[in-house]
Amino acid sequence: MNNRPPETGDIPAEETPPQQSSAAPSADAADTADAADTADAAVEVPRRRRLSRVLVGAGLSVAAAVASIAVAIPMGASGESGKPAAAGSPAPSGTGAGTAGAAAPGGQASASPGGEVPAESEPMGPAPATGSGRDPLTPDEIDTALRLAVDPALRQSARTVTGAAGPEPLTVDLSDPLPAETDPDKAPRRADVYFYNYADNTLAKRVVNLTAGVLERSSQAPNMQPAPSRAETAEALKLLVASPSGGPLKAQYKAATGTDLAGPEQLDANGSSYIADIGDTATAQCGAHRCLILFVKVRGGVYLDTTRTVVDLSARAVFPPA
Amino acid sequence: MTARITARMTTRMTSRMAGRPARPAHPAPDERKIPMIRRLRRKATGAAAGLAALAMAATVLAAPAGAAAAAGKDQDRFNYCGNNAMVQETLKTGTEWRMCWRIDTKAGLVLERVGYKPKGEKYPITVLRSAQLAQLNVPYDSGEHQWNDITSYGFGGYFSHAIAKQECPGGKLKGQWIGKKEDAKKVLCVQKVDAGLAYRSQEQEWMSPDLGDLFTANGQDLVLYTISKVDWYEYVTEWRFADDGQVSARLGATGDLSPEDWTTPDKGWPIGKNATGISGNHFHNATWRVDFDIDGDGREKVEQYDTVDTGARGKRGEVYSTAKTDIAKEGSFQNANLRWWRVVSQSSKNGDGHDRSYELVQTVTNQQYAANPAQSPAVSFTQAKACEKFASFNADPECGAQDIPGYVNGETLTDPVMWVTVPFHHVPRDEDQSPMPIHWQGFDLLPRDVTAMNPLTPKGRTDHNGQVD
Repeated sequence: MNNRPPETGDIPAEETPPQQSSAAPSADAADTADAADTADAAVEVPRRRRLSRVLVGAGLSVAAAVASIAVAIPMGASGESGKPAAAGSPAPSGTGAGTAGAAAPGGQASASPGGEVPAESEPMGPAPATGSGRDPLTPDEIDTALRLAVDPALRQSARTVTGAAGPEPLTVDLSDPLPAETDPDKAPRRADVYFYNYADNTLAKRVVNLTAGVLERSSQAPNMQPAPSRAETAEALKLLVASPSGGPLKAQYKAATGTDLAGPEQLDANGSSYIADIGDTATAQCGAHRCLILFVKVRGGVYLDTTRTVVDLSARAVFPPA
Repeated sequence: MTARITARMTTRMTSRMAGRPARPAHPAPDERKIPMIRRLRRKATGAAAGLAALAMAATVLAAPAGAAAAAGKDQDRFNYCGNNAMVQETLKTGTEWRMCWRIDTKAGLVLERVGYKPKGEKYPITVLRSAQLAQLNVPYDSGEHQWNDITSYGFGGYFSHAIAKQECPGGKLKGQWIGKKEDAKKVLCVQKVDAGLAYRSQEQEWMSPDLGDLFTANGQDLVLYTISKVDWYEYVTEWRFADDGQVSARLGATGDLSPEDWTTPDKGWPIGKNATGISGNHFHNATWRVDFDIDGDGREKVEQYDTVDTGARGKRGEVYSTAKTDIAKEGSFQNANLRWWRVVSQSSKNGDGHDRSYELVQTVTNQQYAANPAQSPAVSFTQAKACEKFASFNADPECGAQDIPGYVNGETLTDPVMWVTVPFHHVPRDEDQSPMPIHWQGFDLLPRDVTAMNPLTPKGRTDHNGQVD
């Protein structure tokens, strides 16, 4: 009773013998209590020690049986060879190429760190046209939301980051149900669609009812600056490279690569929307204006120091560090 | 059931009184002839039958008036998303967790309709309507830089990284569709991980060398995580669901230190040779938004508890007194010694007749960034509003207020949302290069009276509920 097998299927610990003996039976040999007793009889061990070894052997057998049952459970990890991996034993290593912890091309670790069992990648199949309940928006639903969100008035009056007609699309995400819609199974699926309108520096929000296929709510407000789209970041990088204030950037590029910067395509950039803090008097308009801070890298190379420069997309102006 | 336990206990007591061990150390001769695998199956069947009987008994005891009518609804309680968006796993200790997940462009990993079914409960109990990161503010001590990684970048979209199979050992990778066909990005790792010792209790006669029954189990956690790379930092958004009902939120930060924040010794730490490469100190002020939905109702109340030294001295020590303060209206609060909060269901009780609740557990309380009013409170409670999503820079034209200080405007709390801020002041060290060892910050939500007993209680201890005479 003191050592009943755990209900969880855990493998009990291996009991360390009080002294080393080369004739000690391996866990595999100790399949039954009888086998363990026979093996033990070959060496002179005190009665007390033999008893504990019998218990260890029995425990391991139970654990092994549990492990072989557990393999049928989907969560039971299996090695790439398709053979069931006994819990606690080292798994077959992934591809055998590369060393754990080493960088590999393509950003994929090529071996399981520590020889662990790699995850099972769940098959997904093709994306369905529509989701249900609280499913994420499907690619088709995102397209529908973007199409229904831009009413004719907005398409005419709004301007994108490059000055083209229409609003600059930012994000499309699943909406929360309305307060009265307590049963999400019955609530319509909606999308929150956000745009930036460079014509009047407002953030526009459109809520599309995907179930009914209609634009349900529209709102807009100034002084709101969510994260930039990739198009906005690319435009900001173009402005930075073309600006007379881009001089330090060009010098850094030359120092890093030994060649002259020919154009923005030689750089990689990530953008953060920027709202001026009370301590910023040089670009205090940022917040009312759409401003970005860029994190610029040589493509495939080092970061260049650009985070103290502000690109004002609304004014199409670059502000170097004050 | 009860009769069986009593009979077993009586046998145990009798044998122990006779000075013999409770069970023979060797299996009885007839048992030894049965192949191990058959013996195990028989045992498992017996255990399963016992558990089923126990579950039924617990349900009958726990069922509140009118529960039968609600049973259909309870059973359907988790059909809130399709298979691909559903995480449904049973841990080895018998507890099942279910939830819907998706990636929001701004918040990153969003969990909705989170609930669990302890092995002794007939129906799953919902815990959270939704849970997500609500801001990650990173100001540098130099005053030169301040980032808001959720609202100025986002943890979803192209910041959300695909996870390699090798990064999620023993787990499952789940994905989101990014194209029309079978083009999926595997961004969520779901793992069941060892949680170490769950409980242990061994009966013992202090004046005898013999040990009695050992009740012990190792626990298991269900872990979900995503990776978001924002410039040089890589963030891990992790949610951990324990088999005892505890929910833990953590943000991990790894990747590399900023290559553009070199400063002076009073604002950083040298990580290069000698006195060179003084890397800037900075904060990671993380805020989570947690909308409770305890047992599917959504209506909860908030209570604050403070334990104070009364100044009186008992016969053998100081006398402490614990008192409740009802938080009836929206508010922001700071930690104090021996203070904690809980969110309490207004409609659901456990089998002991106690209101089901979840308690906020914050352990680190000395890292506050006081200069940011939206994130300097330890916790805020606001009335649930769909448009109030982020702790600061909410940027929703439909919403009147755009940060927590604006959300807190005196409304009565009937459906509270909890905003938890966990700050971390990062003073770089040599070891942070490279890649930087992951550093974690987070909080726990501890079930308080969700079940009438430990949801992992083994069969031999089910009668230990309340004052045991």
